[in-house]
Amino acid sequence: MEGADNIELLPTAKISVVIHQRLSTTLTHRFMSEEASMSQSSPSAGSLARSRNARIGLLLFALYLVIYGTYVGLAAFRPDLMETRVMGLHLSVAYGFGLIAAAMLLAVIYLFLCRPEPVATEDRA
Amino acid sequence: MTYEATPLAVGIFLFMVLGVLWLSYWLGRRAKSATGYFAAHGEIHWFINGVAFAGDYLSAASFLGICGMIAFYGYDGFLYSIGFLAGWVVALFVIAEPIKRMGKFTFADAMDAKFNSRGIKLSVAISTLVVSIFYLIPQMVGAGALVKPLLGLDYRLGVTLVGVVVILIVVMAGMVSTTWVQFIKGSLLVLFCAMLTIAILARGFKTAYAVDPVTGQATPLADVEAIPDGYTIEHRNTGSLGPIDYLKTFGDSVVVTETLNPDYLADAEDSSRTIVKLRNGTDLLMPGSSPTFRGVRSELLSDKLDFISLMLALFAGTASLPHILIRYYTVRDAAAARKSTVVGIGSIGFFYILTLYLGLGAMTAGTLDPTDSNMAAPLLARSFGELPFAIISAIAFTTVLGTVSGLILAASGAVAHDIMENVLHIKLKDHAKVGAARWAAVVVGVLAIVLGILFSSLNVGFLVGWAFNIAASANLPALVMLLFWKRTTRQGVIAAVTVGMLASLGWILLSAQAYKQVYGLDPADSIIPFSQPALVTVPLGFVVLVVVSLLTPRRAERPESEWHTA
Repeated sequence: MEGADNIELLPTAKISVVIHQRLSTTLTHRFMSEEASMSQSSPSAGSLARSRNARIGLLLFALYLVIYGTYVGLAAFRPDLMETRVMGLHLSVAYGFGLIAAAMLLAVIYLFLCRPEPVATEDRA
Repeated sequence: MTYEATPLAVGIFLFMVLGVLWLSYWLGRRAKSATGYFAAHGEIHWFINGVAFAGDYLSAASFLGICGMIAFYGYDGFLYSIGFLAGWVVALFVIAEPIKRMGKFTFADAMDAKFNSRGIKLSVAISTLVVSIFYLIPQMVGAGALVKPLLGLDYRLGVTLVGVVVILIVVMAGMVSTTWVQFIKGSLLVLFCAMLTIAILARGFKTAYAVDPVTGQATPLADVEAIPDGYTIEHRNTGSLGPIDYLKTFGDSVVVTETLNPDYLADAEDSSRTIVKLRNGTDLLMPGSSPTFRGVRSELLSDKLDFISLMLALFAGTASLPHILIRYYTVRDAAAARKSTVVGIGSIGFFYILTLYLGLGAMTAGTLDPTDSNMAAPLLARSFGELPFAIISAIAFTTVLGTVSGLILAASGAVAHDIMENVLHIKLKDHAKVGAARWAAVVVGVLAIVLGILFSSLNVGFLVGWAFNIAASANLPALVMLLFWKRTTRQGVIAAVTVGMLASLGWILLSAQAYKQVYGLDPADSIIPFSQPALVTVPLGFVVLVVVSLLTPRRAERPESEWHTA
């Protein structure tokens, strides 16, 4: 049954898994096999990478929250400022586009800053 | 306004529906196990899953509702675009990876991972059902409104047709077919809207020029109020514009909009089919031009709270929507969950940028139906020809199919996996559980059809706002505290979910908007100060969770290795 299910895995998925494994250092590779038998509660490369990723996530989240909050505050309390022109565009439009662009940009930054965390307890092979 | 179904539109529509059904049938032969039905074996590629996020998320409200609102009122519709996307930031940075690690099939799994409590499973399953159903109603209403002009079908028949097709998709292959339908719909929607935007930019729009009566020199007019004495007004087309220039020119101009004359009489000689209106571009690009957000321009703080509360609900609601959350279980691991969210943000954000062009394009295309804002985007496509109209209508229809199937799947998981198996402890074998989930999907689907027919007169975007409010109030406080506050207890989670859900639901049912639109009563009689509850009920959820947790004894957490066992 499980073997038949693998047909759904796209070829590209398999390729990316291989690349991913090659990219990660042999050191992390060793941790991966060790961790499978280890309890998650003890600090390991996996949980270190995980908490590091979570910290970066919260930092970027706080940054976006400030940008978004400023926007909502401006729209609600200083609507006159929304008529200011930024490179010819109204601030309302420029800020709106900016918010969307900021979300995309921060998302990509996050992706690059995150470290791969070895999959420990899950075994789907 | 009457619409005629063209053979072309019917043909493209049938092609889409049959294609989707064939795909579901083909995929369904492999999805026999519970992992297959609920989570597509956890083996969907992150890129496919990312685009499927867009397919899940860009519902009828996003596509038809936002375009219509911008076309009618300008910038205010774009506020929804901004808020809907901002919610994804919460999903990516805070929720995605823990949710993936903690859960197996459903949102209740994740919330309960550390406790193994029937109370948590039950309260979260109920909140999943309530949010799914509140989100289902506007989708069904949107579908009915769409099928009418496209196929010339009766509204009720349209809603029933959508319901039946969706039930078939979900029952045949669960998450596997749902994911692929959403992938196809998401990519078609984004690509075709991009093409439509290019066509809009190439066409430009009509602005008003003030013509000097002596020299005959024409200068672009910037303000309706400031027409110089003796000058005549001429309407000219700008020709093709770049994406920035389009918005600049729009803001600098008096825009000539053509709307259909509501008093138009076909028999009368002097009755005109359209009315030409001059509107200040700058005013249309400022928040507060629509009835929904008029409060922003008011001097009173209480009027502004409605706007702030909705922006909070959209920000906090996305990461609490059950049909979005279950999509994290279709990928392999936390890293794939992260990558697919980034792909989702990219495609959804790109689409939301397009909505401003689509909306303003629809406003100035002279094809608006003043009675139905939901038809703005399809009618804009019609101004470019019958083929784009047929394609965009068929895509809009698959938009409904994709979102509805995701919601029904989330609801059927809550019934079969959470309530039947984990709360009532009915021991089900793997294939029996899938069978139960299929029956649950049929029941929820039929319920959605009935509710869609009952609530036909309600505005689509408005209902979606409610669903976001309930999702944010019921789920977000518990979810966030569970991740970041170690002292959170079982009782605290149950209390926060229950109180958040009931408080936001009660608030909505007693609000001025519900008085006016649901009961037909005088909105002034409402005892609630503003209509969007999130500003009050989200903090309330946090307070309830903290108080109840501090009052109840701390319990040993289950180690992570046991999270996925019942």
